[in-house]
Formats: sequence, structure tokens, C-alpha cells
Amino acid sequence: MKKILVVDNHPVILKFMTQLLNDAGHEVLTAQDGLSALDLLQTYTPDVMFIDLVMPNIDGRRLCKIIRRMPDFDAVRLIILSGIAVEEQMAPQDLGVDSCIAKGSFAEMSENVLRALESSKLEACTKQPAVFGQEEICCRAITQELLAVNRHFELILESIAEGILELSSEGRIIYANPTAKLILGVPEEQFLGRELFRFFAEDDQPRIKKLLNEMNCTKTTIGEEEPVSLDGNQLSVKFLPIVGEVQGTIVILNDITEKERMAEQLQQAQKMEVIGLLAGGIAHDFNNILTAILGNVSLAKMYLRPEDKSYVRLQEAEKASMRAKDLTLQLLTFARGGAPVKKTASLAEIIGECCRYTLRNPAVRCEIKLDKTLWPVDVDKGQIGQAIQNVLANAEQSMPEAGVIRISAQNRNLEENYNLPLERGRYVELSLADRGVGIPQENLPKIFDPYFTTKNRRSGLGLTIAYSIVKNHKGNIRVESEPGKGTTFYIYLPAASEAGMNKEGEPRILRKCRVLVMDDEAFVRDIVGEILEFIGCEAEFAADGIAAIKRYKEAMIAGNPFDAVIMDLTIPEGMGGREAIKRLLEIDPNAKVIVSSGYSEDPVMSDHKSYGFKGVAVKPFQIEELNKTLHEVLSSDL
Amino acid sequence: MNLGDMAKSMGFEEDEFCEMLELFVEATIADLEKLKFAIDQSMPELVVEASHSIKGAAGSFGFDEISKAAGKIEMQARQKDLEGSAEIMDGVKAQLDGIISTLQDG
Repeated sequence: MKKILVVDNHPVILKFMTQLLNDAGHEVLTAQDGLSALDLLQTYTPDVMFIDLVMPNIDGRRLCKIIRRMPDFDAVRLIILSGIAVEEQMAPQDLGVDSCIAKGSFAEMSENVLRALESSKLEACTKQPAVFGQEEICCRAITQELLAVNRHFELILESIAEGILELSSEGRIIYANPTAKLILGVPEEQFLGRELFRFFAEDDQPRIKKLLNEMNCTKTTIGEEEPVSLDGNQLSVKFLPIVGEVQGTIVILNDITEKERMAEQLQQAQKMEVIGLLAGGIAHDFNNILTAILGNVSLAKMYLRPEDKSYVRLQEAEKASMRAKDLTLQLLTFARGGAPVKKTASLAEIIGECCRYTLRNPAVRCEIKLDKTLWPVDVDKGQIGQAIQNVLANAEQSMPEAGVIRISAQNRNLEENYNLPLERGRYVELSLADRGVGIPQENLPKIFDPYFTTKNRRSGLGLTIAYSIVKNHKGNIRVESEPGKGTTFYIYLPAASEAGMNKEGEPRILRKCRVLVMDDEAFVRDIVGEILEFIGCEAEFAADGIAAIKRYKEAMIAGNPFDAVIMDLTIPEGMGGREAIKRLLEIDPNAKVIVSSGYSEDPVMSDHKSYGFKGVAVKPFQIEELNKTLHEVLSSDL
Repeated sequence: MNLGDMAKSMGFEEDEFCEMLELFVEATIADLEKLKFAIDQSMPELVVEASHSIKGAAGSFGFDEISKAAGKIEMQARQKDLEGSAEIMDGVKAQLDGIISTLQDG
């Protein structure tokens, strides 16, 4: 005796098969469609199943595929009983079935069914003698054509970006296109026949259930403004009732998670743009004012002896102004992520300053251990300082009570096989280690992501900025962490070239030279003039590009040309440096022009050479810096 | 048409056969209703479904005329052609009525 399940939507076939198989001494259960069959299989494991292909609510093809994916039913023999099977000339293996029987007269079916039951081997489709003679052949061709049409629709359903589901009248899933499968996130055998609402987040389940119950043949939508959650994704859902003979619902799922994320990012980008404009505007004016303050302070200091009482005060004022300058730079980097304006610098100095000004908790301190022969690095001091400060702030936050941040730096000569995404060469490796709470393994890949933060009231931008700054310096930043033990950040920065190192040292006072200063702000012109005078240069002034070019030409004709020009990049109501240099180089291709600006993120500043400038001076100016830059520019051979 | 002979020729007991025939009539009446609806609403897919069902079941009983007629409706509908289907359907109905009266007489 065998346990047999017959699945067919025609009552005559079910009756016929039941009688035939009962008479042969077998136990028979029947199901009218694929969905009911799946229900029965929850509690019943048959030896053999006879399955019709054309059925509502999960057809035979799909049912076979599902059963073949359920390990519990490996031993079940599947036999197709269908007229279509033969017309289609299908191979039983394709569906994972053991044999096919064409529907025909009762006598023919009886014979084939019993024979199929006896046979244990895989058989090809058993073709019956044609019932309708010639017509059968014609019929087959048409079926093929129909199948082609079906495949066409299937292709559309498979390619569509929306998830499409068909629900039975009880709200159970009987079809899902590939997108819907992806959204549901579980294999077909685990969702077919199950109620749709159960797949949504628990909070959303009552809403979906209520909606399906109260739909009453009208279209219903869960819109983007109030999406439901499924497997962590945000979905908008359309419910379309099927009107007519078959009862059920078509459900269209739209994954709007990405769209929402995009909208958020766009909003963020727009916010950043506004901050950028604001920061840029403030920075420009602020830097000019700082230039006046810093210049005056530096000059006043020069007129005093170091032992004078006011000298120390001025020195402090100078330092404070420098910090204000750094703050402006930070603001600009934050808002626009500017390209670094690199200069050879000592990392020790930058680290020292960062430690002094970053930490807020007096119980957290830095322990600095640096290699004494540390190579200088080519960096934008303001930017690298900010990167280090951000990492330090992160370390401080991870030790809310108290703790020590161990900072060390050493020279590294990286060979090609070194396990870092860096070009081979000389680097300075800086490590910053805390003994804080550490970062969970799953968060490690995300910590440099923008807006990723585990801390309240933190922007989640600090480490992102640090990352982008270090990357912009052709360096690398990586992190190692163990929860409960602490976190170590490693920063690699390219060492300065040997030539750059030689330029280190005391600034030299220049020979008497003539410099043309172009700036729209009178007080900037004044202060630069005084600085130049102090370092032994003769200065002349122009308020914009037109005036500067005119003056340069006049001096050339008069046989008293300028040795160098300092040009402001941005002049709001006149010709700025960008335009003026082109005209100036037409007049004198050998002109030595230094570009000056507070906008260090302007591409002209970081790539000044390709615009024809010989040097860069970032506002606000310092005497030593301007002197050094002038010296470099004047001593360079053309 | 003698039900006893038919049953015998197909290897069934007569009462068994009558039961199945009743089922066939019931299902076919339902299929014909579906078919009428589908033709009226010009829904060829549904026409195919209903006529395919009638064709298969009639074929099993050896009701070749019904089977052929239903097959013809199916074939046409697959080419989106429903012309004349209503008339063929009326023929099928008449045939079915014949079977029904035989059943009632038996």
C-alpha cells in the first residue's frame, strides 16, 4: 500500500483517481490546488503525488519545484498528470518530477497511472495515442505559442523593479516575482502559502492585517510618507484586488529605503552647502581681520626686546590669533573638505598643540613618545591638526572617567609588500591608543562613515573628516580595537622630500627687493606693506587686477620692475588673482607671482603652479612665513 | 447512450460511474458559466481556462463531440479570437443537456 496525494482542480479527476487508487489498495488524499496541497504536506508525507499542471493558487510547475526544495520530501515520487505536459514536450527532469502522464480517456489513464506507480525508474512522458487525430498536432503548436506569450509576461514580471505578489482570498502568498523574493528575503518554500502580513515588522502587522480584511474590492495604498518595515527595509505597498472569477489580491511592493536614504543625503548635502557658504563668507572677512591683528602683533613684537614685559603679552596674543586662524581653517575643512595647502612641518609640533587644546576632561591626558629623528612631513598643518584632534576627541570620549592616550610616532620605510594601500616610500607612522570601551567588531567597518556615531550629541563627522584629510595627504588611517581593552588609530603620512627638509631652518632676510601687493582691503595692504618693509622689501600697492597690471607695466617701462607680486585671489568687486595672473604673464612670462588667500580650499591654492603662480601665502600672514615664501620664489630659477 | 454499457466499457461499476458523471455535469455547468462570463467580458485567458477544463474532462469520458468543441473554443481563444465561441458553447450546452437527461432517466 502506498500513501498517495492527488492534486487536481477538476473534481472528476479527483474522484476517478481516488477510486482507481483505492481499488488498487492505496491510501488516497486529494487537494484542489497547490496551496491546499502545501497545507496537507504540513502533516502528511505521501509516497507518491500526482500533480496537475494547470491549477489556480500555485500551479503544478511551482508546486513541484517547491516540494523538490523541501528536504523532508526527497523520497516523494512526483508524477505529472496533465494534458499540457505532453503538448509541451517537457522533460520531467526540468521540474524534478519522476514521470509524466498525459490525460486521456479513463481507460488510458488507468493503465498509465498504475504502470507509473509500479515503475520506479525515471520515465519520459508517456504519450497517449492521439485522441483527436490531426487536431492534436495543431493544438500542440498553439500551446507552444501560448507558452511563448506566457514566457514573455514572465520575463516582464522577472525584470520589473517592483516586488509583485499574488495573494489568495485568505491573504496567503501564492506567487512572488524575483524582486518580491528579494524583498521577502527568504526562499520560496518558506513564504509560499504563508500569510503575507506575518513578514512585516511586528508593529506593522496589525495595520496590514486590518487593511487586507477591510479592503472590500477597492485599491488601497500604504504610501511613502508612512511606509511599513520588512526585514529592515522601508516599503510602500499597493493592494489591488483581483476582480472576477478568481478572488485574491495583487500586492505591489516598493522598496523606498534607498530613496529615503538618498533624500536624507541630499538634505544633508544641501545643509552642508549652506554651512559652507556661511563659513566661507565668514572666513574671508574673519581672515582679513586676523591678518591685521596678527600682522600688527608680529610687528609690534619686532620693535620690542624679548625681555620687555609686553613682549610676552604680544607673544600670547600672537598664539591666540594663530589658533583663531586654525579655527577658520577647520571651519572651512569641515564645510568644504578643501585640498591641503602643504608645507614641510614637524609632526611633533602639531601633536603637541593638539594635545594642549583638544582635551576637555582634565582627568584624561596624553602621553607622547616620539622618535627623536622623526622625519618632517609635507602637510597642511591646520588640516592634519584637525584630523589628530578629531581622533583625540574620539579617544577622550571613549574614556568618560579618566585615562591616558598614548601617542607615539616613528619613521617607516614602506616596501611594496607592506600590507597597506599606500605607495612605497618613506612615511611617518603615528599611533594614538586609548584604553577606553573599544569598538564592537561589527562597527569597525563603519567608523569612518559619515554620520555614523554611537555617541549622543556627536555629529558622526569627526572621524570622516580625519579620514578624508589623511587621504587627501596621500596617507592612510586605520583602526584596531578590542571591546573592553581600547582602540588604536594608526595614521601614516608621507615624509617630506629631502629637498623640502633642506629648506627647513631659519628664514633668511632678503636683499632689498621690490614687491607689488594687490589686495582690495586697505588694512591688509597696510599690514603687508609694513611686514615687507620689516623684512627689507620695498612695497607698492594696487586694489585690484587692472590697477596691478597697469602698475607692473609702468614699472617695467620705467626700468624699475617688480621682483615679485603678491596677489589676492578673490576680489569681490574687481579683477582677482585668477584672471590677473593670465594677463600679467602675457606681459611678463617671467613674473614671479605669489597667490594669497584665506580660501585654502580653493583649487588655485592647492594647485597654484598650474595656474602660473610661483608660491602661496595663506592669510593671515606671519612675518616668517611670508619671508620664507618670498625667498623661495625669488631664489627659484625660471 | 446506455450508462451501464458505458461504465462497463471503461471498467467502472455503474453507480460509481454515475457518481463521476454527476461530478462532471456539475463541474461542466460551472465551467460553462465561467465560459459565458469570459466570452461576454472578452477575457480570452479565462475562456482558455474554462474550455480547457471542459475539454479534458469530456475527453476522459469519451464525450468526443464536447471535447472537440471545447478544444476548438480553447484554440481560438489562445489566438485571442472569440468569434463564434458563443455559438459553439451553445452546442456544448445542448450536448450536456443530453447527458443530464440520460442521467435523470437512469
